[in-house]
Amino acid sequence: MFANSVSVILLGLIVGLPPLLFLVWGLRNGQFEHLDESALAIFEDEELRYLRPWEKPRQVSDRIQKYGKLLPARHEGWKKWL
Amino acid sequence: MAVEETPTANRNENVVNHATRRDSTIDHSKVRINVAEAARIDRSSRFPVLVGFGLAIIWLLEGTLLGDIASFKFDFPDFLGSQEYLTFGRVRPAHLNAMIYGWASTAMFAVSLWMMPRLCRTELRWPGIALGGIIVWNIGVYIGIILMLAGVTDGLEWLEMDNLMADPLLVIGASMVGASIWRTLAARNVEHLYVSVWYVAASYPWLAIIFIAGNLPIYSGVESAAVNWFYAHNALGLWLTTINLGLIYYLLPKIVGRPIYSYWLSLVGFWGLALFYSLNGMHHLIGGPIPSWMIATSITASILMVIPVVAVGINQHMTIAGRFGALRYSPALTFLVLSAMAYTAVSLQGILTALVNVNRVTHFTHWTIAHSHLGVYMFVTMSLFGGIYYILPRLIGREWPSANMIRAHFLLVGLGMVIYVVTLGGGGVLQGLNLLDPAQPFQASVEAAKPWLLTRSFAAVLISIGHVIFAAHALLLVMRGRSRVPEDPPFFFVRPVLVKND
Repeated sequence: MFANSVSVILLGLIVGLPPLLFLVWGLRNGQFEHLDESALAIFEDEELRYLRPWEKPRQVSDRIQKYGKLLPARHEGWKKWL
Repeated sequence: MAVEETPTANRNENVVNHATRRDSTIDHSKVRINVAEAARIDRSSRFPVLVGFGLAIIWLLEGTLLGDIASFKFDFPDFLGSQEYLTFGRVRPAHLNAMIYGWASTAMFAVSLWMMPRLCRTELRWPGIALGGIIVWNIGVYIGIILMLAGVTDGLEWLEMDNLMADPLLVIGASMVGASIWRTLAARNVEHLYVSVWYVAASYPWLAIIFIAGNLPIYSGVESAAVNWFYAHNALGLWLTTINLGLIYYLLPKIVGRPIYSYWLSLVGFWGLALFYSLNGMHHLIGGPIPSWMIATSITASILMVIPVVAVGINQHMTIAGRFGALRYSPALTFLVLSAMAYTAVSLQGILTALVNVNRVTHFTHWTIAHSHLGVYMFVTMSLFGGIYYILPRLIGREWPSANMIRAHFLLVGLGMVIYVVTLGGGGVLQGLNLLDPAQPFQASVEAAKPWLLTRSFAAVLISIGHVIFAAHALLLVMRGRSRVPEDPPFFFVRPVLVKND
């Protein structure tokens, strides 16, 4: 039974083992620490300080509290939505 | 402490900034790049990304045409039947390969070449090699599909392209793009890898391994079938899925303007997929003459996928929860949210289909086609549409010309795909129930599926019109030329396009 399935077993290991090694590497190199800060890594400078017109007042105040005073929008197209 | 203020910021950019990397593991919230730097990074990947998107959109149109022809052959069997190269047995795999390798994979090359430098906060390395890789890959796909239409095929699902003339070009092309991606990763200016980096970086070696393994001419009989489905399912899960989840994890928080709900859950999603997914494929062979342990393992691995799928679903939903109003403003976000929902739906549907009792009904029916379109179209293609709507204006330096064309595109492909999946899925179940009924002749299963197949063709026409509008719109955007380097944060490029402007 296993003799007919060697290829699939090998392939499963070839695909599955490297992620395990990278998981260990990640654990040893602090890739899973400071998770909340890591989530912010994709944002550009001051990107979170602009008002989103779809946000409710509570969400706006939450944004101000977390990221600082809102910056004025420079895009004219936004005005009627603000 | 911004990146540009570090003492090493002015050094040669080819030298990895180890200090910044080390600092970045301490507090990411204080390591930000400014908009000008993001624009500079975008410029480094601009040409290969634009070429990739251009070729992908051409493939989208070609693959759509082939799909329409294949669909109408179910309703009108003599349709275009006089020419051998237009028979169903050739057109259908040509459609599949054009969409998977031509459209989706080429667009995914472009997406990853745009995203990786941004996430690594460095310029794209080896852009010429990446561009060459995209071109070599596309030449390979063209050769493969032309040979396929001429009747030269390897005869394996998802691996139909000729393994002497086409496959080597695909391996070389993907490896060249992957080399650029990994070289950029090696030169990164941050130590911490955002979850999208894990997804994108892992995709390239996975694709190389499964594609080469799947095409080795050493398997026979049952083993060949098992390896075939090992490849086909992993091509979906470890290539198409990973790049697009990486894209969603990057763009969704950026557009909404808040970090991902739980970064920890996003890591659970990635590692769950990485560790559990590879054995899923054999559930397509339930009932086949392969060892029972293999089926049992595959079903178990499929059920384990509940963990990463639910983790991703919860995370993406909670990120957008309470802010669905944003969908009215951003077409990119609308496509991405629809795509994220489809990922959860198709994954849970796939787990359900792996159960023996369900599989007994749905196997060998049109349900499978509906399921694969929910995955490859509603999830993968919708995500790529979202990515293109977001990325192209930043590279061209202009906003999309027409809000109406975006609305038309979204409504046509969205409505078309809902009709497609619902009708063909339902028709597939009816077909399967008829097939299982020993009192019914085989013809009954064909008759049961016919009206649903006709509805599918109608849906395919809607989707095709949507694709033509999308391609024309992209062409209009490019023809308007590049007016200026974008200097505003991406947020300002999101306009309220899915509501009236006045």
